[in-house]
Order: sequence, then C-alpha cells, then structure tokens
Amino acid sequence: MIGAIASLAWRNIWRNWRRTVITSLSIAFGTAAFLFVQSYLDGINAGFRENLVNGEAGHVRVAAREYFRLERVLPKEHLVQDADGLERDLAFIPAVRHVTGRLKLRLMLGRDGRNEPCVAIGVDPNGEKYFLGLQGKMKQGRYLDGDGAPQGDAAQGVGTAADMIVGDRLAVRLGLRVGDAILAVTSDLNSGTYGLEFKVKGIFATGVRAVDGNVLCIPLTRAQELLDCPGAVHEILLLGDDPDDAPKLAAAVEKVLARRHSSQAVLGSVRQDPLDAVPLQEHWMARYMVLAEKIMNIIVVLLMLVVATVISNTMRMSIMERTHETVVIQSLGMRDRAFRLLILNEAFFIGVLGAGLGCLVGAGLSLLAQHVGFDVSPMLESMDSPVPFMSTVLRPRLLFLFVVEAFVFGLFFAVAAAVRPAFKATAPMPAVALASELHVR
Amino acid sequence: MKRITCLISALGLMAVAFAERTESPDVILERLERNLSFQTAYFSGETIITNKSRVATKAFFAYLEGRENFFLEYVSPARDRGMRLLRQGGDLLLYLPSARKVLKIKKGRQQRRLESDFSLDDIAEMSGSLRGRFSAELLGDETVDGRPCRLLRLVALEPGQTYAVRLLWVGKETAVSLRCQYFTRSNKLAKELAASDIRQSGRRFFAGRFVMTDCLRKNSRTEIVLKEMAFDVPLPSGIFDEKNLKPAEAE
Repeated sequence: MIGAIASLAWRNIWRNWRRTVITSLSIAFGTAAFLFVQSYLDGINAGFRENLVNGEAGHVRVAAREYFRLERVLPKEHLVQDADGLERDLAFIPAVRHVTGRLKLRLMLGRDGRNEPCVAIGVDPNGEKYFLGLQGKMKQGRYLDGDGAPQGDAAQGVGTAADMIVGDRLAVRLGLRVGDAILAVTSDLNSGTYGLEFKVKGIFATGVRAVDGNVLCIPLTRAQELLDCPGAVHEILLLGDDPDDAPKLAAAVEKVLARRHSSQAVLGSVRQDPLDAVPLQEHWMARYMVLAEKIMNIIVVLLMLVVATVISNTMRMSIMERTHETVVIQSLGMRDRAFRLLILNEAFFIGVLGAGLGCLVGAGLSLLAQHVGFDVSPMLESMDSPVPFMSTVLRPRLLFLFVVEAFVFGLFFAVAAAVRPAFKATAPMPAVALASELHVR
Repeated sequence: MKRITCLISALGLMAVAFAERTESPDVILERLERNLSFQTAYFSGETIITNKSRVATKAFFAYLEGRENFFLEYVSPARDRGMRLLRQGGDLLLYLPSARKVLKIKKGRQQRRLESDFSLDDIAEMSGSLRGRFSAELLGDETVDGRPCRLLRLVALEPGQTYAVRLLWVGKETAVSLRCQYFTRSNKLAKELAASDIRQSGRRFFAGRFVMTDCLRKNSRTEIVLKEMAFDVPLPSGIFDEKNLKPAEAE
C-alpha cells in the first residue's frame, strides 16, 4: 500500500506543477541560505584558527611563565635559555611533528629620515616554514634561506647586512623595495641601544592586516644579537597531528620541562625562569573564539527558525488550499490514515526536490565564494585597530557534512510542516469543503 | 638713631618678606632657567639603570651648546662604547657603532627611544625653556630634603607636549628644580624626577645627581650621576656637525 501511495503522491505533486515548483523553491532558498551561512561562518572560524596556530600559538607553546602573563607588551627579559637543547628534547616526543623557536622584539626602522616602529620576529627560516609559512606568501623577492646570516664578512659581524623580509603594508610606509638596506634599532636586555643594518630580501603579504602592516622577520641569530641574548628565544612553538589533541601534547611537554628543570637544578647550569607549556585552547584568542562560536551558533539557530517558518508556511498553504480536493478524495473512499500518508509523501518528495536543489545552489555559491573570497579590507581600513589573526579576504569553507546537514534540515522541515495540515485535512467540515472555490484539476 | 636703624631694618625685612611672598611663578621660572643658561657645557658621568633585578651602568660624556645642541657619547660598557647621540633642533641623530650607520629619529618618535626611564624628550627638556610652553601657578611653599622650595603647577599650553601637567619644586635659595612630577593628560602620575647633590659654580647652582622613576613601571628607575661639569668652556670644533657624528674609521 505504501508503494501505491508513494506513486500516487509523486503523480499528485505534478498535477499542479507550478505549486510544486514554488513550494520547492522556497525550501531550496532556505536550504541554500542555511548551507551558505554555515560554510561562511565556519570559513571565518577556520581562518582565524589557522592564523592563530601558524602565526601565534602553534598547537602548544613553551615560554617563561612571566612571558605568558605579559606577552601583549612583548617583555623581552623573560626568555627560554638554551633553546636549541630544549627543542631537541621536545622533538623526541612522539606526537610532535614540528618545532621552532621565536624571539619577538620591538624595533625602530629608519631609512632616509623616515622612522617606523614595528615588531620583529627572529625566526629559524627552515623551522618557520611549517608555522608562519611565509615562503608561500612572498609578494616580491624571496624568503629567508639557511640561517639568514650574511655572507662573506659574517665573522666580523659589523657592517654586514643580514636579510630581512617585511610585510607589504610596512614596506609601503617606508618606501621599501627588495634589495634596499634599512637600519633597525632596538633596546637590548641591558637597557642599551643597539642597531644593525639589514637588507630587504623579500616582501610578504599574509592578508592579515595586523601582520602585514607591523611585522618583519629576521634570522633568529640576528634577533639574539640585537637583544644580546645568544642561544635564547621567547617562545618555542610545537605542531602535533591534531589541534584538538593539543592539551595531551602540552602534558607531554610539561614532563620534558620538569625533567630538564630538575637536571638543571642538579647541574646548577643556566638560570632559567619557570617554563610553561600552553595548549592552543588556552590562548586568549582561542578563548574568545569559543565565545564567538557560541554567538555564531545562535545566529545559525535564528536563521534556521526563519527558514523553517518560511518552509512551514509554504507547505501549509499548499496543503490547505487543497481542501476541496481532499474532500473529493475522501468521499471516493480513501481512509484518513492513507490520506495523511499521501500528504506526508507529497511533502517528502517536495522536500527532497527543494532541499536537493538548495544544496546544489548553496554548495555552488559556497565553492564560488571559497575560490574568489570576500575582500573585507575596505571595512577593516576604517577600523582604528586591526583585528589580530583576521584575514582581509574571508573565504567560506564547504564541508560535505554541511551539505548533509542542510539537506536533512530542509527535508525535515518540509515534512514536519505537513504533519499538522495533514491531520487537519482529514477532518474537514463538509460545508467548508463544498463552499471552497478551489476545484480539482 | 637706634630707633631709625631699627625702623629701616624692620622695613627692609618686611620688603624682603613681601617680595618673597609675591614672587610670581614667571619670576621663579626665570630664576630657574637663568641657572641653566649657558653658552656651552661639558658633562661626564654615569647612568645607572635599574629594571627589576637587572642593573646596567653606562659611562658617558656630553657637550651642550645653548638649548638646542646636545652631543653625548657612551664610553662603556663595551657593547655600547662609541654610540653617539646628537640632538639638533627637534631631530635626533643616533650613531650606532654596531651598524656603523646613523639613524635619524624625527621629533615625535623620540618618546620611547631610550630604554631607561628617561625618554629623549625628557633629556631634551631638562635644558629646554618652560616659559611660553606652560602656564605656571604658584601652589605654595614646601620642603624637599630639608630645603625650602616653591611649588609650581605647570599646565601645557599646547596639546603636543609630552606631559600635560607638571608639579615642580624649585629651591628657594638655589633656584634648582629639586623635584618634578610629570602627569599624563588623564592626570595620572607618569614619572618623578628627583635632583640632589646640589653644587655651586660661581653664581650658578646645579644638581649632580638625578633619579628618574617611571611610576607606570614596577621596580624601574634611572640614576644619572654627573662626575665632571664645566660651563662656558670651549668645545671641540664641529662637535655638533652631523658630518662628524660618524667616526672617520667607520667611513
């Protein structure tokens, strides 16, 4: 009997094809909107997270406890001593895939009477390829190679320019081009003023305004020379397999730190501030992102309600306008249960058509936007302070899961919206039905 | 005759007391600046910078010409030796021996340059004129380190000043600024400068020790101890010439 009803329902929906198309389109619109918004919000979130992991937090970050507390002001004196030794020890942890050390310092750049304050990151160019990944974001020139140390007169260390790569916005402010020499001055750990000359090897563009406008990268050894802290870094970043496993990785790193701390205490070696291993999830931005995700979920739920209302109304109208037809079918002997099943089957077919079409449209739009991206730089330009980790080009991220979710969502509301009208339609008042001006076609 | 003498003495004392009481803020500032006015000057001494547990001592010598030209060179420690600083008008030139280059720092970028509690602006203003840039109000008399002082409140006339408000304690006898508190626009105490080791050279009084405390940072202070001081002395020729900032061997 179910097969016969399904067959009848399929024929029924094409008797009035305009009504079916209009109803399906409303479901398609809702489903497409739901899918697009889902992928858009997820894209923003994923972009934030990727920028946070690569640019700032890794999966786990090791630094002095005081450094974590004061990191927003870039405290230069809280260091990880013997960074090479610690990195070697950390690389032995099975879950660790990549390790790199960084030294961050404020610099004053000077060229042709122009000065710009900026933040310099002293990096190991090879190790940093897995983190900042600037080798793939070079707009002009080339990425740092080797240890970035100058060739030739390097041993003398004076008057030989090391390489530097700068963000494109910073380069514009200083009128810098590849090959230009620039003087960088900082205050070292001993409150002295120290400067070195650098040569611009490349100009990068990450799309993150805060980075491109304020950050430059120099070889770690040169950053250590500027700050007068040979062998030390401010932080060591680690990448594991999965960011969600970062807390477990942090626990393993803590064990290594404790072991090293006790052996250093025994040997009485270099004085070291207490070190902490902090997983990605404890970064202040990650905490903010949890809140942002909640807000995004609320937006999605509100959107679902709006779309569900549109679908329900359309379905309900399409059933209620068939009161006359309902009475005729019932008068021909169709039982209530079978009739309800017929209505729900019709809703199911319309739902499949609408949700399917919606998924196609929504996925198409998402893929197109993912490819092209939304340039939000004009909006960000008008903001006083740049949003850290936010790219100027936002891209949705389409997952198959979202397509399935959107399809189920569209179909569910199409069928659910038909339940009440189906029950109502089986108990019509004969006078109302006969008075209906609608006719069976 | 005795009565007349007593009367004249009393009148004299009253006149002095009256004059002292009615000394205007402008007159106090004028006395203060007269003390600091010289054609040329030479100083040598040490800067002791304390930042939490770190203490760094740097020896230097400096030449001044009027209020505009200022030259300083560090002689120790080894890492800082040879670093030169030349202030001409508003701009500041920094010779860095580590790079063998000169960095020009524009006015307005100098506030955070020195990693001591003194900014370059602070140093420049120590010899700069206050009159015309600040409106002064006499708040009363106080004592600093046992020395009687006039307490002045200075409010910046133009918004571009580094500190919007200052409280200045000027020694009554020496016309030396013994203490100065610097306030931000939001009326928060930013820094405090204390002067001591008051010395006299001819009719001029000057402080030989300054301690600047950054009230916005914990455990941070910078002490300048002047060992040698000479006023209106001949200076090496071309010392304030930008071309001579870079030593010949660095060319």
